[in-house]
Amino acid sequence: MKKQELNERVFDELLKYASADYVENIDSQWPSGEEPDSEHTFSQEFNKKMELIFAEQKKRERMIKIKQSLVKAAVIVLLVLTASLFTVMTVDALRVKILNYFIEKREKSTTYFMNSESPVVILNAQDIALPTYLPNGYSMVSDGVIDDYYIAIYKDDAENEFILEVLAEDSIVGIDSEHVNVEHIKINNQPAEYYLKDKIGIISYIHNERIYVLSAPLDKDELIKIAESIK
Amino acid sequence: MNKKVILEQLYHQYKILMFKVAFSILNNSSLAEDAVHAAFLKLLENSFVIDDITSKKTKTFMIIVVRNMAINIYNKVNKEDKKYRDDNLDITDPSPGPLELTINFETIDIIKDTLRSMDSKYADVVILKYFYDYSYKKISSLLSISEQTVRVRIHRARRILASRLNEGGSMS
Repeated sequence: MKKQELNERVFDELLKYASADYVENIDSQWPSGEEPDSEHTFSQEFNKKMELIFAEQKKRERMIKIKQSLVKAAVIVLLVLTASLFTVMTVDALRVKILNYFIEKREKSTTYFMNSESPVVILNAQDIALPTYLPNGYSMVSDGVIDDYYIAIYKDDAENEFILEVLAEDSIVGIDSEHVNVEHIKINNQPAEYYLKDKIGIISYIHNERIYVLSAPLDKDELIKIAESIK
Repeated sequence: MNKKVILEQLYHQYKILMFKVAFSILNNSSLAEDAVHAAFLKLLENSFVIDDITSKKTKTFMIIVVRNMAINIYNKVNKEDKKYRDDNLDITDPSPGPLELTINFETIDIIKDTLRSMDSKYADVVILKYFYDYSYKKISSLLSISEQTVRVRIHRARRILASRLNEGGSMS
């Protein structure tokens, strides 16, 4: 294990310890005990909204029970069908016909995915390709590797910032693209996605087996120019 | 115990405390009630494990959820105010280099004190990740912020802590 990696792990352990200490001492920040004596009386509207939450949860639990009953019924139906199928399959003429049907169906519609075991990619800050082009006034103020991703923050004089994230290709990454139109673009002839959310432009694409995510309050062309300078 | 019963017990145990936490940020009763309501909506939408309603672990969890709902409301109401926004940070790292730690009691005290005094929006994500062991996705869903914001806040929190350690002489 490299020294830097070991240091990061020790730092993680320190954070776990400090977090546990924070929870243990929560009473010093927010003392318990005097809650019932509070002078605040909750509004009727608030009480109604809270009742709705509990009613909604009750409804959900009822639905879960109904679903569980349906699953039980489905299992019984499945058992009956299995028994019927066993009977059918013991008769030669029917068996051949039914097997042929499934083979034909499978040839028409099945797609096979070969799943090879890919090695785990460990990110090293020194190995990350960074943009050689930065918009006027921007410079890196902070960067680092946390778990399986690298993050760098750039700022200009007016405190506008753009963020570069690099993740291993097999990382699970959530990008908030809800209620936006995703535009398919090219970065150095490679497919990429661009979208605009809350005035922040975001480009994501795969480069050198890593996922690059650039987000900044910059226009699309400027963002593409930054992305294309990462080589 | 089903979730409805748990939600009701949490509500009776913590509604006043949650209101106080929200009020300390919003300074408005009606908005503070909205934050408490939003926090319980989050609990309704998300799965979570409660071992003991009255434990410090549960109490901290409830405080973190309502505090972040209150911050979200504050940011919506005060769009120009940067008080609780993510870009309100003085820490810069002009020469980021490898982390070099020297562990001693002082290091541990510095990191504990810094976490306690840190801006709550950074401390909260650190605690959810390192104490509750929640994924970025789960933290994002629970606090109504994007996963990217979660990652940025954790990165910044680590930078703040590393910077304090540096000042304390525990890092070279």
